[in-house]
Amino acid sequence: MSEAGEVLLRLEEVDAGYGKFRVLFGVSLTLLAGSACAVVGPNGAGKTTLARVCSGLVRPTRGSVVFDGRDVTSSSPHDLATAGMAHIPEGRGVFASLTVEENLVLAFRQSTRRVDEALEAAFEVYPRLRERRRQAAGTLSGGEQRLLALARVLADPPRLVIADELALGLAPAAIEEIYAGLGRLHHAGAALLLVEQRADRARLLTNDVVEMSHGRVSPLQEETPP
Amino acid sequence: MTRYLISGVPFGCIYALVGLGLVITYRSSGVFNLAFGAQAYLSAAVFYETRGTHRWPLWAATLTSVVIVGGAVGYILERVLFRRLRTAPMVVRLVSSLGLLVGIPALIQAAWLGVGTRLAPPALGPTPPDVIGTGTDRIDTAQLAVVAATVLITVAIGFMFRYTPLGLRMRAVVESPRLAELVGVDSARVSSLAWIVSSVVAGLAGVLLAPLYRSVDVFNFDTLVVAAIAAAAIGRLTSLSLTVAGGLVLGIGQELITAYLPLGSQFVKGLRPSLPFLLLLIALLAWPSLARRGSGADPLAGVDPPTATGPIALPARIQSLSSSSQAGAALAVAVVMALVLPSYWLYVGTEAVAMGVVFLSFTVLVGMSGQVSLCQAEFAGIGAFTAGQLASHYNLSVVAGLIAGGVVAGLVGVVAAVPSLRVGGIYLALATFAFGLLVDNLVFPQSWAGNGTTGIVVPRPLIGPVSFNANRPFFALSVLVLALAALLVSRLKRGTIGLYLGALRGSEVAAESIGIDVRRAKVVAFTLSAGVAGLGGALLGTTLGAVSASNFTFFQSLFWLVVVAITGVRTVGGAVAAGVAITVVPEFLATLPSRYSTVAAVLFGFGALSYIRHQEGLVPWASRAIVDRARRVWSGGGAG
Repeated sequence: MSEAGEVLLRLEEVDAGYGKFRVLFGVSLTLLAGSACAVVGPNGAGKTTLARVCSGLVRPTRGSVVFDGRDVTSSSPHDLATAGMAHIPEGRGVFASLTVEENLVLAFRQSTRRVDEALEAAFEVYPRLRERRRQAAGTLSGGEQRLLALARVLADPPRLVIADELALGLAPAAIEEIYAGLGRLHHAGAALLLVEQRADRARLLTNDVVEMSHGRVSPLQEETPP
Repeated sequence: MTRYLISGVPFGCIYALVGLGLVITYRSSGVFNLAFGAQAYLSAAVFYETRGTHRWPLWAATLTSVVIVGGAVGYILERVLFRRLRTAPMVVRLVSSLGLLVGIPALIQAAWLGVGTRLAPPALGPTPPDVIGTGTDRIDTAQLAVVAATVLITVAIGFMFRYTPLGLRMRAVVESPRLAELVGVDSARVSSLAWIVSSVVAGLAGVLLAPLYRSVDVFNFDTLVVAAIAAAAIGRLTSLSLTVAGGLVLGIGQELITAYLPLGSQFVKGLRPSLPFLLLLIALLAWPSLARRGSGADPLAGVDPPTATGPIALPARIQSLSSSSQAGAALAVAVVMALVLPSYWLYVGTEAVAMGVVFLSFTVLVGMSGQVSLCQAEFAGIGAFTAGQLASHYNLSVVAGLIAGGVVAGLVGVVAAVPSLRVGGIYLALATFAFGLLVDNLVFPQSWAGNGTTGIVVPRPLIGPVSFNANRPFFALSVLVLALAALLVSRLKRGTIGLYLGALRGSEVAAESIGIDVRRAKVVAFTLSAGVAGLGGALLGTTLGAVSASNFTFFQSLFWLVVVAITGVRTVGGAVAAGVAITVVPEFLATLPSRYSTVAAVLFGFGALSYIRHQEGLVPWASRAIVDRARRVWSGGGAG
């Protein structure tokens, strides 16, 4: 276990892509335990791929990924998940065919806390999910699905949460709720890696913003006011 | 009535068991595992040997054949093969499991059991089974064992899925293995377990099935798979309870047909075995939503690299050079063969040429348009029977017979295209399979068509003064037909229709969005392909001189797809090579002792796995490698 201030996640010179298509070109990134960092950039910049490399979904063709002092470059996603990294993927991040409760139970079984307690805690935070516990997750609204994905990690905060455009396409009220949830996670000690199209929302949580474009990262240039 | 229930329910139970296996593996790994038939056969064979021949105790024989052998085979298949295929194109997954369906029983026979049917297999329970009850309302212990085992397994699997942690993980992996990984589930392990469970169930079904037929015969296991497919389709490949219900309906329905429809007519005789396919076809056409399941789609499918739509083409000049040089070389070989070969080998050569034409029909449909048909042998049969009937009744000339064969088959192809307008992918393959089986059972046994296994003669009448009765002129004629067909197909490929079909293969939606009439393109593809198959079939029939329904069965449809997938389904050269391979390889193997008569099926069955790596086919792959090498040597020499 690394203390706050120690390096939690480090990517070094990572190249990655899909088959013959290369997306990331020598990406390096460091995240301290308990800190928060936002990756912003336009469509196709490689943000989602970066998130996937962190959680092991996409294996880098070059470079290394170190999580919590351990080289996890070729670890499988479920290893990383049990090691304390939670990746909430872009789009639908829940199992549509399972009920709300089953979605939560499935996740809680893999973590250490007692399932019943965790379930209770999750429903405490989002009472709306309790109302819909027997409903298939696919029938929830987009915002509720994101809340469910958040609830999965909220009850027992992991060391790192990677949130890939969680607010995308939601109504302002729902976005606020999502960001409140992310803030709560951060407050509970989880490090955050936020992927966003725009920097303004991410700035609510962190000042550490990097920009991605064409598969490379750079510190964000101050935008000139219009 | 009870009598038919009693005899129908056990069969229905077994269909249901294998159907369950199909649903579980399809949902958990995306593979429609036709090889379950082969796995069931293996378990039945092991049970026969251990319990029947060596008199092991019942528990030991069952444990060995069902749990150990069945489970191990499932585990190995998943581990070394199907795990990699999850994201492969549908055709690849289908061809692989077809190859195993062909290859595994052939391997068992060649390496161990020998060909032929084993009679009086042991049952679970006393052998021979005790009979309970008297008269028509009696049931024996083998049937009881089937029913009891099915109830037990169904309840156990249902409970496991719904209420256990493993079941929850399985359902999660079914929906999205990636997302399951992200919440900490080891998807690979869960999917292994699903394969083991469903393979054990399939093995059990095999052990239970043999006593019902009173024999261990590969054929019964092929038909078992077909019925199980129908049951799984009734369950929409998702619902376990509907699948079981579907299996039972089939089993009982078959008995009722036998009971209540007047026997005697060929049609009714064919109706009993074709009930599953009729239901399958209806199910597929009535529920087109089967093929478009939006909510079940994997939200993380984008993680996988895009599947290659084909090898990157050679520069046009080299390609045309190599294909025309190939064609020239093939023609030269044919001329030399016609001059020097002894008469028997010339006959074999003619057969190869005819099969080459048949395989060109796969080039049009599978290679160009990306649609999969599992009824090409039936199209070829229609061509052969048309030519034969016309020649023997109207003394029609052989060329007219060939053309008529092609035309009639093409017209039937229009009918076979109908399912493709409603469903796609694996469902289309299943629909064509059902269509082919209906033709097998209902049309081919008729005296006006194939006359069943008795067959019909296909005479070779004169054309003017030239007699084609001798093998040499007939060989020349066949080569001419093949050359014309090959020319037609390669013209087609480069022309507008070829572009349309290629667009269809790439993406139906994209093709539609640029104004291609997708429905028409599909009908055109099916019709042309069926026509070419009919032409080839007519040529084959005329070569053989006599053909029967057993020359053109559903098994041939599957086997031919496997063979042409190995040599190359996208090119004319691949089709011609497939024709040569399927006729010449068995001829060479015929010199082996008769117990090795299935070696060819072993080679082709397992050879189909080469398709996973080389979807362009071994022939284009090899010739490309040769061209590359020659180019390197040439340019190396030029630079140095």
